[in-house]
Amino acid sequence: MMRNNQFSSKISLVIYSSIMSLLLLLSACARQSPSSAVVRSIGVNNYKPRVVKTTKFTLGPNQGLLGIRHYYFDCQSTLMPSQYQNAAKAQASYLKNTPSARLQLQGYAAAGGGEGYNIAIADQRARSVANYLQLQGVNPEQISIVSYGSLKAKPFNGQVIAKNCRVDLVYREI
Amino acid sequence: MKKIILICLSILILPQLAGAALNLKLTKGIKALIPIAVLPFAKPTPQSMTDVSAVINQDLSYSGQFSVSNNADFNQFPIILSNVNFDYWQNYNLNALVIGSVVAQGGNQYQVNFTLVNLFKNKISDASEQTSVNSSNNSATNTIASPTTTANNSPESNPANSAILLQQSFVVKQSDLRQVGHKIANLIYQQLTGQPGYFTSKIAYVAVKRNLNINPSYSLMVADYDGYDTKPLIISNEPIATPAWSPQGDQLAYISYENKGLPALYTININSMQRHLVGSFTGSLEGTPAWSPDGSKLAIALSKHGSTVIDLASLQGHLTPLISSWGINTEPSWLKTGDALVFTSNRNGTPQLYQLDIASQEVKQLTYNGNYNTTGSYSPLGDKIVLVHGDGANYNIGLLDLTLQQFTVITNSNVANSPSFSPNGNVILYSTLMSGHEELIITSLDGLTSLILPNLGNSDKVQPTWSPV
Repeated sequence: MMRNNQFSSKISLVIYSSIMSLLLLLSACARQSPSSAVVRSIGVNNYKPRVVKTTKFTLGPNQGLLGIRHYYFDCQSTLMPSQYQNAAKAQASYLKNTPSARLQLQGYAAAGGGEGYNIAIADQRARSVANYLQLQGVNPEQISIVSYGSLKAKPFNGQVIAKNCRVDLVYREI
Repeated sequence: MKKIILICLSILILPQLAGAALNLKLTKGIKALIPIAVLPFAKPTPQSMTDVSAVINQDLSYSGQFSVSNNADFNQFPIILSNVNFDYWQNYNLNALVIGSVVAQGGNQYQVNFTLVNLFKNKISDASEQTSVNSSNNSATNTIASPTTTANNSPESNPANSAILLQQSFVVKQSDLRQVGHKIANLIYQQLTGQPGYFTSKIAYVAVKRNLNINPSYSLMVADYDGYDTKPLIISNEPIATPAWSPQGDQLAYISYENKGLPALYTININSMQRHLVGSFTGSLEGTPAWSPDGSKLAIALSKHGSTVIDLASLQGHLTPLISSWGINTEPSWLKTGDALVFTSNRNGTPQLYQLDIASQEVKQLTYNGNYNTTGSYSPLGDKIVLVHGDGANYNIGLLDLTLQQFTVITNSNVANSPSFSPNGNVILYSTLMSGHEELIITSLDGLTSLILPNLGNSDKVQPTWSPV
């Protein structure tokens, strides 16, 4: 795993990157509402735009600890940080009391290095949260995992963006 | 050190040059380059049409094999052999001269003529070299034949003691002039280096457009090797990832998250655009498909029992286990013979490259240099592997020579990714961040000659991969 570059000459870059990643995060939070993937293919055969409707993401519970939906990891680790244990316990209680609830754990990794490796690292982060929830007695069928690795992150610019080393908790309708 | 400064300077200058096809050339290597000149071809009006000799010039200049003279150094520009003044050209210490013309024949038909003139025989009288160079004339001529072009053996060509190394003409449409330039460059490259050129090959990559207020868009792209003639195959606002070429170079396998944001494995024919869903594997797919050399299966990474494993998927999505261990096993890449795979694993703690021998099922660790080596890809002959090397703060492209057991870092951009070999194994393609965007670079194995592919708008060009043919 990479550690942060210490060059002081890159401080302005760090600040810029942090602002950018914050903005990205904010926009990501803002669009947990329904979205549909538009897929189209261009070229011969008058290919028509392919529109795929995604399942709606519901907001889920937002009170107190349940509102903590981004678990930020140490970029050198795939273990769920202990600071999120209470928040995860609250999610576990909610899931056990609401058997119809379905939680998707989205794993992310910082950009830089092998994309396949980053997807695997991000999957392990999501799995670490899933394991913790299951240890609290959550039915595994209520939990699903998807890893985006660093596919949604801006390209590596010499700085590891810590906010990208995270797992998002997204409630979905059945 | 001088080289590092030069590269840094070039990168700083880049924003001003964005849009130009050729931005960076460093040919001050130790390696002996073949000195040649590619003179402007005579061409009809309008002058706006493709400059065939410029295409040839670019192909050869950035191949890492040639030192192509600056035409501003000359004041003679012959277009046919009888006008070549050998006494004049002797002053320039060149091995060969490329001359030619493009002649409009009416009805969107253009005749492209070129001659590769031997200047070497005047430099050193070496009969044996002369014979061997000329002996490959016929084979090179045969490979050019295709439905869209006509190739003629010139009656002037006389292998015995000729000033002509190659001479051919093609009749093509205006839109095919660029391709003819690449074909001629292939012929010249083959003639002078003894190896096949790669100038008619394709690349694939994912273009990611990011804007602040709207979702990013991901496009699966194919283009000529030099970044021209780009063609989007699929556009999605969910990630498209890790394209991989079929052995015949007619299809791509890739991962798309278009269905409910979950990954699925697709193939697409780059000519017919026909798409095929191989499988979604209940969301456990972790990208990085690699087509088996017989074209029947794809090695893919899957999340299974808490680890990432590599399975073989049939084109119908049937899975057979291939590689598993504790931790992560991903990014498979086949040896062209199908006898082995290289892959990334952290089974011993840090991500390193390992090789699976298919027959014996033995796994062997290949990299020991530092704590981060991923994304390995074999050379066509299987004697080398390119990879992403991390040193704790930066990522560069590493080259592992399996024969010499030698590891070298060949880039110094510190933000490099996704390397793959050209079809002849002499140069590599990778991506790197430049002036705010991820761009594609072709570089020679010694890292000394680099071509930055044209800036194709405000997108990040990621996960490039070079077609095998």
